[in-house]
Order: sequence, then structure tokens, then C-alpha cells
Amino acid sequence: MIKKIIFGAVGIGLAASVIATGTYGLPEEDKDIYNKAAAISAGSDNFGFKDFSIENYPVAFYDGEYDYVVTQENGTENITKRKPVLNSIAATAYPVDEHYEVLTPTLEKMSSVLGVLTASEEYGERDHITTLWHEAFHCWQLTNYYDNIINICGGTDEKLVADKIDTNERAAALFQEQSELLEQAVGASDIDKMREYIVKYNQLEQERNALLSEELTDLENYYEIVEGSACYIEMLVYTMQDPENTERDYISEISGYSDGTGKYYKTGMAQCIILDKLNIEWKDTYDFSRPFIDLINEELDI
Amino acid sequence: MIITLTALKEKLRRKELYIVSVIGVLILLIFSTGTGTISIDGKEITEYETLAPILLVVVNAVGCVLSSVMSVGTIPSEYERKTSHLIWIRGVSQSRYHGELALANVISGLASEGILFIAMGIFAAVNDKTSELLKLIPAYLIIAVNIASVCLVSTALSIILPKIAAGALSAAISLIGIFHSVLYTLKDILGGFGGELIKYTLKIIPDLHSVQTQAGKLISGDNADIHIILKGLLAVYIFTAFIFIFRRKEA
Repeated sequence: MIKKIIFGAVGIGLAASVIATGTYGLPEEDKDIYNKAAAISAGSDNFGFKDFSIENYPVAFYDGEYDYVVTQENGTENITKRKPVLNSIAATAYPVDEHYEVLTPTLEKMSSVLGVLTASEEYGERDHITTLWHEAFHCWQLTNYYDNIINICGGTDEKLVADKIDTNERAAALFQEQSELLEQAVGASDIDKMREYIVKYNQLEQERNALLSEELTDLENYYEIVEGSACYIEMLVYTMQDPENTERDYISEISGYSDGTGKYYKTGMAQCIILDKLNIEWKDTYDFSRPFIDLINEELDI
Repeated sequence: MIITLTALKEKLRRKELYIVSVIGVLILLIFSTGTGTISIDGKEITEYETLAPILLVVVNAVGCVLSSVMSVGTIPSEYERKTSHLIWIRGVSQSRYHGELALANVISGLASEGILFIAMGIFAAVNDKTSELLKLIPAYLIIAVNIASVCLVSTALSIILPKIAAGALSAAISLIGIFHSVLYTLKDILGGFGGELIKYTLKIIPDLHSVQTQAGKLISGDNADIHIILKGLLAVYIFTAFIFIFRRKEA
């Protein structure tokens, strides 16, 4: 009997030790990431977009079991635990109740999944902070310009890009040339040079639009407008974190062609950078209803 | 303890321990002598400091699988040879009999692990890293938690299941435990029913990978996470309880 009591006591002691030494709630590294992301707000001046800040949207970190939702109320940070909204690994802006939230995996989850999917690429704190801002920008877009965004093409369709655009060799070649022109325009030393690149871009655009249906060009516009501008925010946040150390060079990623929708993120971002160079106040009135290239052409009188 | 000693002698007589240990040491030597190479990002890893934690992964995997193989046959063999009847007539309880045989399995598993660690020690000495040898002792003790866990769960399963079923299930538990973190990531990627199935499977199988990672941290000079080691010990405790709880009908 004594042996059984001792055995039971050892078990209770072990179980208690396991409970006592465990960490619960949102991991410290994710709290740290949120705080660093929120701290960027102070020096960002909303990145030029009226009332845009990550602090205006709840950020839900999914640890594989629960969502830990970080919110700001009157300058105080609150963390609440809830059942996961999505129950899967995804970084996205998602409607919850009557508002949009940033849903993201914890850094550990995100880096382990990306480690498996992309083998050698390392995903760290700096990348996660940029991801939070990217998704927060989508929250801001959807909160303020939902109708305009939906009117661009009615919704996303990655399969259509894969089936109808990526398979069109001439359209792909033209896109490649256009992306190179955008990269050159971003780096142009004067407005005349920039205009020259954009005129060539427009000529190729006309040829390319003749190859693709209106449905497809609207879809491309959607990705450039919605994702391109979020990628632009991402680039700004990435650079702000450590201006001297830009391991990831967003500018050199503008040119090129890759299957899928990722290419539009880069060309959309490039067009935002060009607009910044032409008129930094373009963001004051922009409402996500028009392609960026239309604004560029107006600024350049083309 | 006489039952434990007899079971150990039987294992030595049947050369089980030698055979599995030689297999393990051979696998370890293949990786540590350059016959087989480990590359990260296309770069060959040859430095002891980098290679040692990776070798621990091999030691843990080989040690766990070999321990499972060695443990799963012990109790069924005893019953097949009717040795159990000689035990009952001496008034020994079934739980004590199974407990002592399980202890013999754990001792032989730890001995195999010891042989693998001696091979690692030789590798360290050959690389002029004799100063690192002491770190192998706590690393051995941490991985011993995994070895004990696998020995005990294999033994427990062999009490209630036919030998083949127990062997398959304990091998599956060892492999799932070794690839625990990879499977957890797979669960995140899959989502849906498949993800939920993996999630609940992983909840009941000990995370042998995370425990081994703590041994690697010690070798690299970092602090180990005591919570993970305690969870490993709790698994050892639960499997020990199974040994005493599970009963065999033939007895």
C-alpha cells in the first residue's frame, strides 16, 4: 500500500512540475513583435494614408490551439484568448463580428511552416512585423474602401491567373519587359527619364491588354491595387526597422516574372514608389478605385 | 531483481544487445567519419560543434527504434517459453514480473544508448574535443528519458497485444515521437480533418524530438528547457503505470 502511495505521490509531483514550468498564453516573442510593430506607428505618419495604423485593428496570433487577440483600448494593451477563427496557418485580414482583424500565426508557427514549404528561407521577427503591417493595411482598405475594392473585379481568382495569364507566353514576356521598365522608372534620376520608361510601359500595356480579356486585366488591376499597395507598406515597414540593413532588397525584386499572383505585388508596389516620387500627397485622396498607372500618367501628363 | 538479471542474461545470450548496438554504432560512424555526409544549404558539415547536435538526432532516432525492437519481444518470449509458470509457482505477482522484465528492457536500452554515446565520445576525441566530453553525460541522461519511454511503452503494449501488433504500434509511436515537430508542422499546413487527426495523435504520443533537442542545446552550450524534460519524465511515469496496470490473460 505504501508503495502505491509513493508511486501516486511521484506522479502528482511530476504532473505539478510540468504544469508549474510550462508557459501559457501568447509567447513573449510575439508580444515583443506586436509591441515593435505598434511602435512603428509613432514615426510613420500613417504612411500617408489617412488614419491608417496597425493599432486600430485587433491582431490575433494563432499558436496552433488558440487565437491570442491583442487589442489597444485607450493606449492600454489587452490580450484575450479565444477559439481560433480560422484554425489553420494563414496570415490574412479577416472579418470578425463587425470589424476586420489581422489573423496571423505566432512567429514560431509561421517560421516552422515556411521552413518546411520553402526549405532554406529564414523567416524572423523583422519579417513577421512587416507581415502584420501588410495585413493591417488590408484591414484598413476593407474597412474604408470595401465597395471600391470589390468593384475592381468582383473578387480574387488565383486559378484564373494560373490558367489564362501564366500560360500566355507573349503576355508573360511583355509583363517581364514592363516590370523591368518599372524598376528603371523607380531608379530614374529625373522626371524626363521616368516619363520615357512609363511611355514605353504604356505601349507594352496596350499590346498586352489586346492579348488578355477585360476580366483578366481587371483581375491584374485588383492584385496590383490591393496587394501592391500592401506590399508597398510592407517595404516601408521593413526599411524603417533597420534602414542600414536591407537584407531583402524589395526594389531589385520588381523586375522578373513568376507564375502566380506574387508578381503583381511587386509591380503594384513599384507604381506606389513612383507616385511617391511624383507627388507624395497622392495618398491623401486615393480611394482604390483606379489603377496606379492612371495616376502616374496624369502626374506625368501622358 | 533476479528476474531482471535473468532477462538481461537472456538478452546477452541471444546477442540481441550486441547486434542492435553494432548496427547503431555503424550508422553513427557512417555520419561521423565522412563516409556519409550531412549538408546544410549545400555546405558540407564537418565541424564537431555543428555536427554533434546533428549526431544526437541520429543517436536519438537509432536508440529509440532499437530500444523498441529489443523491448517488444521480451514478455511475449517469456510466455512462449512458459517461463512465466515457474514465476507463478513462486508466488510472484504478475505486476512485479512485468515490472522486472520492463526494467531489464530499460537497462538494455540504456546500455545500447551508452554504446552509441561512447561512439560519439570517440568522435569528439578524434576531433581534439576532449573538453566537450563532459557535456555528453547530461546529454546521455536527457536522451535516456526517451529511451526509457520507448522501452516502457513497447513493453506495456507487448503485455496486452500480440507480438506483431505490439511491434508495429510501438515502432509507430517511436517514429511519430521522433518526427513530432515535423508532424506538428504538417498538421498546421493540412488543417481540416487530417490536421485534427494528427493534432490529437500527437497529444497522446511523447515528443521525443523536443527532448532530444534539449540534449543538443546542452552540447551547444545553451540552456535546456526543463519543462520539456519533465514532460518526457511524465511520459515515462505513465508508461511505467501501464506496466503495472496491464494484465495478460494467460497468466
